[in-house]
Amino acid sequence: MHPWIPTEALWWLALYGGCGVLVPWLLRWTQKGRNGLDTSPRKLFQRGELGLFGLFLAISAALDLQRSALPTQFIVANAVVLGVSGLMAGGAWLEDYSRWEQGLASQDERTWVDSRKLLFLVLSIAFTTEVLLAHSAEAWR
Amino acid sequence: MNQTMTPKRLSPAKVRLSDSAVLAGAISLAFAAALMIFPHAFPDSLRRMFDGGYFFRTLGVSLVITNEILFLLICNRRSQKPNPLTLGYIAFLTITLVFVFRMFVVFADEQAQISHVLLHMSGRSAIGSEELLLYTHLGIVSGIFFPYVLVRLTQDYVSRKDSVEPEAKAQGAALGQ
Repeated sequence: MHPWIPTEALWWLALYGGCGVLVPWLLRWTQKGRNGLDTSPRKLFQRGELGLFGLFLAISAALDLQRSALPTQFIVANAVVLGVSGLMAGGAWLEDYSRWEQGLASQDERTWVDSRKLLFLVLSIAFTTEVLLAHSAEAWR
Repeated sequence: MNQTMTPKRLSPAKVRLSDSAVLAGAISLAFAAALMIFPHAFPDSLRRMFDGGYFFRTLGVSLVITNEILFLLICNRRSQKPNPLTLGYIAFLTITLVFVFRMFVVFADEQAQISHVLLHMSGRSAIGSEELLLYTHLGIVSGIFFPYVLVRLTQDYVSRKDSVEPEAKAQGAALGQ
């Protein structure tokens, strides 16, 4: 039995990952020499920006799901799961921003860990959803 | 007093959303990997379990055990005291989510049967293995992540209520004076 590789889903994931994480990191890296900045991903995304990226990713995956020919109740249920995960990921950034706005001490370590883990969840659900979409399209062809 | 005789004080367990996110994400990726490696055998095995009538029981028991172990691991890692009430609450929420997921699958199954029998459509007479695959992924991910979301929201609500009550009492006493 040959393994089946959903190339479209992998390209889609690489594109989003590249635009959301890799490009900002490369931009920061190019400025390293001039400004002496810390280029570690932890420093770059310490305020929960990865969570915000997770929210955008969840929205785009839900929109992609909406265009498919899958049963309506499945689309709604999956969009809810993606939406809640995305909101929780975005919440990591929002919480840190609210603390900063109120002049409270920032919890950089906690925000970084939460946003990173929640982005992983959104990324996994979005990728598996894309794999399922590709698989269903192939099976129902 | 001897240090070994001093009871270790454990704070009550506080759940964070990111705790369950990693497990739910990893299982979701494992699901995608299983589908890519076994594109026919994996959906067929789910279908066989569904036809055998032990699909939801297996899923429910697996999810409850996974969530309980995860909660105990979280408590152990942070040296927090696992609350039996929270353990029961997680089990209750997981079983409720499996029932909701079952409702979705049964509805899709009935819909397929009605379409086949009443409308004389040429489609399947029951839910297909592809549809079952979609719902199973949804059920597993939401069955791990959502109970922790609800537990976290409940804990936040309870702690907010606990902090508001003494303040209200103090304000009432100040007004009374």
